[in-house]
Amino acid sequence: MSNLPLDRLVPSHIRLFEPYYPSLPDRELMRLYRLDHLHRLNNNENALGPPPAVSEMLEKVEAGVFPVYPGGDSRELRQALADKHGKTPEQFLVGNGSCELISSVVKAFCEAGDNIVTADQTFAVYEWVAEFSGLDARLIPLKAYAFDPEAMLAAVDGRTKIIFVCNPNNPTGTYWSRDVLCRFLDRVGGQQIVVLDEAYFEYVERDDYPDGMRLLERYPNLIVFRTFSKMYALAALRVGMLCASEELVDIVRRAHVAYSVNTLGQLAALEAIRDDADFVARTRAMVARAKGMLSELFADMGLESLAGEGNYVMVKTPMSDTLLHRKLLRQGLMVRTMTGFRFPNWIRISLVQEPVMREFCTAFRQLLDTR
Amino acid sequence: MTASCQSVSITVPADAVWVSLAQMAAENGAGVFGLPSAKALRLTMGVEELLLYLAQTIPGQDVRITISGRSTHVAAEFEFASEGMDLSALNITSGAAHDEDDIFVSMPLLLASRMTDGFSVERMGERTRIALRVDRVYQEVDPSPAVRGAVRGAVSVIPAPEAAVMVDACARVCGLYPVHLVPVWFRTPGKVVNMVDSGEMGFLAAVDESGATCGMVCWEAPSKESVAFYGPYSFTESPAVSRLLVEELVRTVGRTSVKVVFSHIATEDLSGHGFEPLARVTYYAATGEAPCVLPIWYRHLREDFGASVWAHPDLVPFLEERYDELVLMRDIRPTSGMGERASDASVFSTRLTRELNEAVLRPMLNGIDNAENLARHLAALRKEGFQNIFFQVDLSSGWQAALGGDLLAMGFTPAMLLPHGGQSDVVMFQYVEPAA
Ligand SMILES: Cc1ncc(COP(=O)(O)O)c(C=O)c1O
Repeated sequence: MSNLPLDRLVPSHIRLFEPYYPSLPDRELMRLYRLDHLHRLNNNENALGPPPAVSEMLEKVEAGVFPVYPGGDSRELRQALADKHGKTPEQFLVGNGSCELISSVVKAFCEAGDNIVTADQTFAVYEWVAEFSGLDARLIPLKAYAFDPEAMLAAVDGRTKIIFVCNPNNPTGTYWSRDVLCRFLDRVGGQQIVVLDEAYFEYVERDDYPDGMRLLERYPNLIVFRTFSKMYALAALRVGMLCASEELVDIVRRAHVAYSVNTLGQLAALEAIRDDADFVARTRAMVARAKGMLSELFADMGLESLAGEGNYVMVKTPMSDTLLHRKLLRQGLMVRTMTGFRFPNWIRISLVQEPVMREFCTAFRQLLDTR
Repeated sequence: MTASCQSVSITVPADAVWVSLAQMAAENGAGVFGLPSAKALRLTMGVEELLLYLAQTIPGQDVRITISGRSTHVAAEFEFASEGMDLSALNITSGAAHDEDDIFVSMPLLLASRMTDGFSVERMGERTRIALRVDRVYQEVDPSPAVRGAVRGAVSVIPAPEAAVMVDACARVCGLYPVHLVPVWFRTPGKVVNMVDSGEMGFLAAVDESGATCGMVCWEAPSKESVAFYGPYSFTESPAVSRLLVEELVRTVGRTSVKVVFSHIATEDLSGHGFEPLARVTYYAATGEAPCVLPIWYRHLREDFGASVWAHPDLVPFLEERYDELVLMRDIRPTSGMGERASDASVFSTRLTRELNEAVLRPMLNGIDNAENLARHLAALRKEGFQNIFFQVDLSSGWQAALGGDLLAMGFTPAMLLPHGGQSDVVMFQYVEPAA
């Protein structure tokens, strides 16, 4: 231990904050668990990806690009996004994953004494960023596994700056329809920033699922998040983006580090959206098949499960989720435990190719049958 | 968790001339912080004993003495630089004469510990802290009649309810459950309320629609990464009460940085609630009643991706079996102490809890006399009447793990393996009296 005066140097909200410990690298895990294969079904990655055009492009990248800084504001990518979505490039901000953008938005709008409102069983980064920034995160319980608009509105006060809505919600897969969302935004009445995190947007095929990008003109307090980590399978390159009015983007940009998105990430994202229809369709088909298989298995076993939107499903298991996680891992299948997400004894499984899903189904059934 | 605390400190050289000042601080502080005079006197005597001892072992060095009024006790803490000190003086057996008969007369630390309800020695980097604890006096509650009621309407679980609910719940537990399933301090619910108010203890009460309390569970945090609970206690015939309490317990601590939950006292089989059996530990009551066997249940709150641990070769079979049963991946690295750098004299810290008849030893400093020191501790503690003697080994430390050999040879057995019970996994060894 050093003799640093950490009591004085470290603010109390950092001292009390628990750092996040990611899982071990594959190779280390496989050695420890003596595995010859490992299927990661824990991070909602797209096992099909990335789109073939991206892979081809990446293979041709020359080392000459590496000594040069990336485009500091992802200009070309923003232009392409603007063309695709019918916006101006100034309405986009690109970040090192949408996680970085969550941080930038919080920094841009919040100061000591402010609070954010979100759900208690949702993507945890909204809450974490608020807490390690010394802000109060008001976590509203879900209602029937979905964000509860009334309770969230009731939690808003004069110091609430941002409301985070995850649509569809990770991990429950529930979503707000266009009507519910618009009614909520009407009630907020522009008094708070509303972040609509559409990380799984490209997976949803419901008619009443709203496209946040189409609502920006009507609601100038709205910021829409999308990511290249999920559908486009570029999680390793860390590219996320937000879209809002030029006025809001200009403000968030002030709190955002330029040059945070690397060259490969920008090139790959550009390529990914150029011609994505076929890849998106194939991914959706894979997810639908996997969702069907797991839903059938869980129904057959009489287990409560949630198979909503997104490339993941949840199931409540009759044993400890953490024990089941270890038992599945011993067979090369890594799922996400949900106790820390406030769903004791639930696990979340990412939906991937059929052979892997079949392997999961066999292992899952056998582990629970032989308990 | 933040504990409410008021305190006064003085810094004096370790010298007999300052004993009366220290005594005055202790007596005065204990009174102000609410100890009745008989109890304040015990703290004062403990402080006297300890400062006299330090005057011999670290003459003239600065000692900071802090008297603190805590939620349930008053503590006297002695803090000093251990640099240059013969650390073996921190062993509770230090000063033992070779003559077996007057062994205790010459053990000042053990003597100081006798005056108090709790005693601990900790080393924190270059500093050492010895703490004496004298408990507040609480009124005993009359156990409620041993009848289980019916649940009226839906049951909800509320965290840290008002004091009257906690007091009532403790009285109900005392009336309904056998002694070995009830922590002694439930008989003094005021203490429970103070612990909950200060954040040292978590408490959930189950309440039905009529407002009647129909169950409770409570817990403490023995280490940064674990919580240990008591319960669930149900005052009804409905199995739903226990289930709700356990679910809410897991949900509540699942939000925190805690990695594992285990039972201190479990009232029922918890396998249906996602818990895994960890061990069955035999406990001897101070009152001479028959020993009881407590099943220990545990559950991880997060993913465990595996780790490396050290182990004495003789302990490897035990660990392999336990890790396999618990489905925990560990690289077990055998170590038996390869004559690496160790000081002349080892140091063990001791935590004594007299009301539980319990002594918990932890190794602080590796020494070439580990085995002898262990034997000295064992002899002294047995003579002092402690029947539940534990030795805690953290498997993240090679030299600690290597002590496993001496412990086994001396009649200790590995009573339980606590995943993440310390820096890494912890093995609790328990001394087993040889059969007569
Ligand atoms: C709802 C949600 N938002 C954002 C992210 C983070 O994505 P990125 O990789 O862009 O930081 C995730 C990833 O799990 C997510 O589930």
